[in-house]
Amino acid sequence: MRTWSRFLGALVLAVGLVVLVGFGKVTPVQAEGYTVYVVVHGGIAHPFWKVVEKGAKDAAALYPDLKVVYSGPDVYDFEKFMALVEAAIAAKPNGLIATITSHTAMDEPLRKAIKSGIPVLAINAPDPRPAAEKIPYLMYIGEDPYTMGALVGREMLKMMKAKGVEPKRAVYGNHHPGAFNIEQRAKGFIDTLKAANVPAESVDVTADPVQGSEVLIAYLKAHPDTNMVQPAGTEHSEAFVARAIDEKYNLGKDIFVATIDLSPKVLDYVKEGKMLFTADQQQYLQGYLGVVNMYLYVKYGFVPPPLISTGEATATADLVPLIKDLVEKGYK
Amino acid sequence: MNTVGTEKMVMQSSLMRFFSRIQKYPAFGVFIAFLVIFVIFSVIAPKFLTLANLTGVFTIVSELGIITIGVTLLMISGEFNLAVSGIYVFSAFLFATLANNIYSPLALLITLVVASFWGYVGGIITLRMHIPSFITTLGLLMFLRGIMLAITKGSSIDYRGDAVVPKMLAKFIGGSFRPSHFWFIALVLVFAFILTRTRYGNWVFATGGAKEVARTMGVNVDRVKLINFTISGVLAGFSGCIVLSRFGVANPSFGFGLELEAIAGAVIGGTLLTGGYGTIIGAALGTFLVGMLRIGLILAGAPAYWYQAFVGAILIIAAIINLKLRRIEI
Repeated sequence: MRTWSRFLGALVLAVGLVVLVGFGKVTPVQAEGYTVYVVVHGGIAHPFWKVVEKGAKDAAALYPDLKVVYSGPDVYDFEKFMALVEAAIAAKPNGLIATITSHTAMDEPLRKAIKSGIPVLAINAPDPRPAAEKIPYLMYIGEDPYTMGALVGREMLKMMKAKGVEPKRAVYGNHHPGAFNIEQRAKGFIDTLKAANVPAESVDVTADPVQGSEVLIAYLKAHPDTNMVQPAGTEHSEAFVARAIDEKYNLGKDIFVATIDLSPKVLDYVKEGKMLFTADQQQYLQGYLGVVNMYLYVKYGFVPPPLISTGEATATADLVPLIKDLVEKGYK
Repeated sequence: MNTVGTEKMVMQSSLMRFFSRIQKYPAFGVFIAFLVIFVIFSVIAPKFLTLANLTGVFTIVSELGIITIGVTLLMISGEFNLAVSGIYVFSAFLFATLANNIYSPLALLITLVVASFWGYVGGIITLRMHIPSFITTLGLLMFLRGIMLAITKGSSIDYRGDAVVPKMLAKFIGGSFRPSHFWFIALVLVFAFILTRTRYGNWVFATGGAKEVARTMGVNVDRVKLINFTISGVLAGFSGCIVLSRFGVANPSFGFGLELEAIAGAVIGGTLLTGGYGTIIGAALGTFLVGMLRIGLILAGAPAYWYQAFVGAILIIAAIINLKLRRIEI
């Protein structure tokens, strides 16, 4: 009987503790701290977003009282991305850093989050609307996608002319049709070329680099005067260059290729002259400066500047050895 | 009697008997659909009917088609394997990793064994746990693509091994032809023979068409399905090795969405989603149709952002043509 009552007493005590802890009346000792969510449209396993993640985590390591939760879909999927944004908002973090992949779809949830006291900071893809209409986030850190696309077009024209080659026709591979920043890059590229009287258009190269390379090869066959190709990102560029060499296209002499973002393979192609260059939006800074600015705001109330452009650098053949080292270390 | 009139009647009657005979052949519908779309592209797309383009299309079709053979065999026996594109990209990476260090034919053999293992895993979980194969293999697809991304961190892999397997599988052999074209044709013929001329083929149809009846008649239904799951894994792995051999590089995004294209090829080719009916020849023709659509549209100058809409519409039309022709009574 005594054993049973002791057991019952212990059980009641255990249940009581669980209930109290669960309702927060008695809490175990916790460190004071801040939690910031970084949600990107990804895919987060893509090398590009791995660099953003490193930047975010390196910044988080500077501050012992800061926890950064980095998330996004494994491969680009807008619906999954939005679900993760909603989940981050529901977690009521101290701050939210997000890519504004679609200002239309993200307007309402982000405005609601900001109104409920969660500051929002935009990285990589901005809200392009005028100040009075755009989502009232703290600041934007990243590239201007239109400018980036225009940079690629401009530099390709310049480098081809330096080689004495007349640009005749260009194609821009779009691997995320409908994604605002990719569409803006395409527009920047195409507008720049059209202004130079070079016909240019965008094609849907799908999310599969194998299919994408076949689409671009078919385009080259359909438009044999095409001598400028932007295959859409590093993965598609890697597959396209291999495929084009197989089809005996003379890259760097008859057909000129450039892309945006870095990978070891793409840098090899630049070094070998198979690609003219690749544009570098220095996305490490997007993750790093995003977290630093958000932390300084939530802890000390420092109001950040409205915009930090992470720069439009180009990785040309002469810079490859330096950049490759940084790519392998995860900084680029 | 009017001789001309009689001759005309005899000729018409022969033609109708001939049409009736070929119309009963299951792949007839998809063959007509394929022919119609092929002719349309040949007319409206100036460079479609060139050797370079047709062999290029054949290359895409071969790689997709090898996967479709396995998917079709499994669908006829009443199951799905959505993990094929995961096995495909996993095998590309595994083959490159091994062949960069050992003799490439040995690397290929090990890769195919591992690919068969993944096919087997999908099957054993489905059958032992009684989970719908759609769910099991969807989970396996996500698992395989996930571990690929986690291990590679998104980086691509170069092929630096010997030239034995690449020459055997994918490198040009004369004109614009590749060994993969012949591998595809050979596999179509082998599996068509197995399906239509062997006892095992009967078991496959029985398993998919009337599982309990088949069981009662002594067919080991689960074993048939497990074998087909394994075959679908091997063929997906083989296709992954072909792609790696062709490009000399692979990255984790390769084959994204391929599983749905394989199923589309099978269904357009006449394979029923419910199982019990289908042909390998039909699936091969369905794959040709799926494979040539995007390229044909580009060559025809279709507006770039309309491709997906066109591909979807043409797939539906092709499936309707196929179905209607099968139902015409002569």
